[in-house]
Amino acid sequence: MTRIGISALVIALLGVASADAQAPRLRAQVESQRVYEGEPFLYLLTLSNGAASAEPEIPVSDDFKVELVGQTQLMSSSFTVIINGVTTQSRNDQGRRYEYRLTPLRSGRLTIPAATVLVDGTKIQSQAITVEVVGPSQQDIANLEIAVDHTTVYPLQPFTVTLKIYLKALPGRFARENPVHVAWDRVLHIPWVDPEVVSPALSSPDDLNEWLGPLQRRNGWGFNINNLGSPGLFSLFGNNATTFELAAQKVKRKDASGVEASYWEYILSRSFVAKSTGELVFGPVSLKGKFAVENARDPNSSQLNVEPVYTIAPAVKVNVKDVPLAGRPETFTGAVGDFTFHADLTPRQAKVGEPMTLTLTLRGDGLLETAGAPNLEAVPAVAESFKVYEATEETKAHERIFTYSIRPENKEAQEFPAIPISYFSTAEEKYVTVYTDPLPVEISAAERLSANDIVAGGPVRKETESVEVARDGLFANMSTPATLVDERVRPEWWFGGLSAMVVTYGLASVVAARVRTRNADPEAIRRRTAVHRARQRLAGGNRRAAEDPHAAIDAYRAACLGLLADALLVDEQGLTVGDIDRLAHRLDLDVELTRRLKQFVDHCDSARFAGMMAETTPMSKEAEMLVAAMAGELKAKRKLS
Amino acid sequence: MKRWFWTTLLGLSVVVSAKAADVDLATKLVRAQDTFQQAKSKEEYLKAAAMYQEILDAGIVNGTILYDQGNAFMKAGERGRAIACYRQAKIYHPRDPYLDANLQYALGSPAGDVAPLAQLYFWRNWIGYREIFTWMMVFGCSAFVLAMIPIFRPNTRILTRLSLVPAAATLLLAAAGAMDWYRFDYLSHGVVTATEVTARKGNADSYAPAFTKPLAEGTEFTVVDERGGWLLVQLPDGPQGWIPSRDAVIF
Repeated sequence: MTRIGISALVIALLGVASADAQAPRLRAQVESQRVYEGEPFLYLLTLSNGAASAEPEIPVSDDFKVELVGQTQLMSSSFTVIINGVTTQSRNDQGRRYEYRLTPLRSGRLTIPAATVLVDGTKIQSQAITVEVVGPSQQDIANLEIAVDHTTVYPLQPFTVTLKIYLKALPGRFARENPVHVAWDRVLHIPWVDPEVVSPALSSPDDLNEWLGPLQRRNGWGFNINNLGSPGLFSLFGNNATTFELAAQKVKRKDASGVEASYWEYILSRSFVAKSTGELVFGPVSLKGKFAVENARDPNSSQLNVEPVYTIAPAVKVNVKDVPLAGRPETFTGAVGDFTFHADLTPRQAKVGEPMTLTLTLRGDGLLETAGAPNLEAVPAVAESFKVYEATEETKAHERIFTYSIRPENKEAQEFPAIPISYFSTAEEKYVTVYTDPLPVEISAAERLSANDIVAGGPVRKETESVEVARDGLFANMSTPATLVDERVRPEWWFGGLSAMVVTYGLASVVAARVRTRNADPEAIRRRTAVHRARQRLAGGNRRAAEDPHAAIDAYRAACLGLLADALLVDEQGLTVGDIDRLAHRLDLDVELTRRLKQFVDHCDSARFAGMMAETTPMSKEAEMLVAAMAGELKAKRKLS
Repeated sequence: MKRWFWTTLLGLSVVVSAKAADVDLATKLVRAQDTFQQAKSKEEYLKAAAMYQEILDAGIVNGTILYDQGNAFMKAGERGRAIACYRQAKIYHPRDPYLDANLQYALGSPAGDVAPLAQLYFWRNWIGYREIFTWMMVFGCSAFVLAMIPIFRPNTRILTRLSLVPAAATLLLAAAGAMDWYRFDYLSHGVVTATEVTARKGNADSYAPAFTKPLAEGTEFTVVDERGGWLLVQLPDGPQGWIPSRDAVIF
């Protein structure tokens, strides 16, 4: 064939394939062509190159139970071919895969009918598939039985499903050996390992780990259950193949020939609770594996034969029915199960009209959440003597608690009466009424106003009903963003502030007292005011200088000598020039200052007494300079303050 | 100039962040109130209570928030925790009639005081914890000012005598404040939150019961000691017993 011819053929085939690939197609597949009766297997329907308007339909068949497990969106795929530089592309559009679990209901060569699906109004059909369904073998080596303790239950009434497995005891000297203590494959398929497989409304109080975890073995002893732990399957039990060793005991039962033989009985039980009415089907359960049997050719041989076995136990049904309407008492409020009923009242002593709290507790196993509060006013003894307010309801583990606020309306009540409540007993399958114990109470009269307390006067008015504030119930919430203020108290800060004020006051008082003491001393006063007084004299002299120069000179002289006398606290009367040296020496005055002072005083004496005329102005200035110099030096020497 | 700019910016950012924190808390409060108003189940009321707790944990502790949290617990059926919240709220709002009414409803009886020697604290229902210290400082400052003036002006010595009146009030309030400080910050109080709990003579289940009846939810006590997950509690009338810490709430 020429090169051109080959290319054309490839292109043509690709064109056909791509054209064919574009048409919608529904393809069916099974995980195995050989399956076992009662054991589900995977059935896949793949729709490609089209979008279905609804799920595919699989014709109803008596041979299979069909359950949709899930569906997956398929991504588009494409491929490119380049031949002799010519590029050809082909693509499959998006599709969908549907996964089903099919459980064969009988053995034999069975056909899974073709499924159909609508794509853009066109019915597309898959191919039918034939599978070989292996039925249970006729043998007495292994047998299964499923039992339930209740075939009829009520919602939330617990019931137990028990699987019993009987394995014939090993022959000869191996009779005492547990047959499952041999690491051969023994696979159990139990549908209710996952309760939701049985029904979405079914649940078990134990989760899988709590139920099977303690039975787990790694040494191959026991049974493989639903391939839990097999590689590739998500399992709580890890990714290694795992088995579960069930509780076992030896029993006697008849074998296939009707002769009593020894069997090992293995029991696996699980409790369930159905949340709604309906029929629940548990099973079938299948067991397949290899089991050791007697060597038929040589029964005395120490070697045993191995025989493959497949057996199933037919399913059992449990009917979940609603509690009956017939015979339902008025005191029934919805509880189903088995319960006791208790009452408590606080306080036991009260005055008429005071609030009391009644707590009724319904305690036991069963359906509690929907039980309503008993109607206390239907109890005549309660209605006669107590006012009852609406109850609050609360559910805790195995308890339903009703809390009432009640008030005694008279003091006649000696006890709070027994309160009835009815529930439907699942054990007895009838309505049962239980009562609380009566509770002794002590009700005294409310306080009354005496006649003297009532002031009469004015026109008689028609009595009107007074409105009483209800004591029960909660008042509304009050917080607003404006109330978001931290009200916490830090007492240490407050006491610290108070202490600071006390200390401040104390210190101020002490200082003030010392100042006052100091200021009251005459000598201190004299020293403190010495300079002021000297300046006052100078000012006085200056004022009188024009009218009376002699008086001015006297003032200037007195200012200087007076300052010296004040510093030493001596009498300034009679001080002369001759005293200046002595005084200056006591005061440790500067020598030059002392000379100037003596010269000035002498000048004043001459002007005053010797009749010599002197200008008062320069004398005033000299006196001011002397006073200032002496004041500075005496203050520096702390002779003056 | 540059330093002035950055200082101002820092100050503004502090103010803004403080304001942002205020807005955040206000938003939390509004959400908590909405959750409470729309709640219909125990879980939803507990969620509202948790939202109030967030505000308390953020440092805004006040009687109104505690009162609202108490309401949320009451609606959720947690009577013990509600009583604890109401008691804490009474520290700050002792005269609130709604708080009193709700506490009484939670207790199922008039709200007495459970602290030891409670009668000594005769002011406990009139004046709140913070108010005592506020008034103490008001009178204290008055006494301080009246006493300081005569120090500087001797001819006003009459003011020294006048200052004795607010000084005496300050002393009384300081004593009351100190007693409340001991009562609220030193003593621990608690409420039983379990439906009922058996108080024992020792801090283990192996000890015999201390009382003839278990303590019911809502029973109030003061904490005397705490050891290894157990509390030694004293009931209002004096008897003591040990209860597991998990069955009570302490405040």
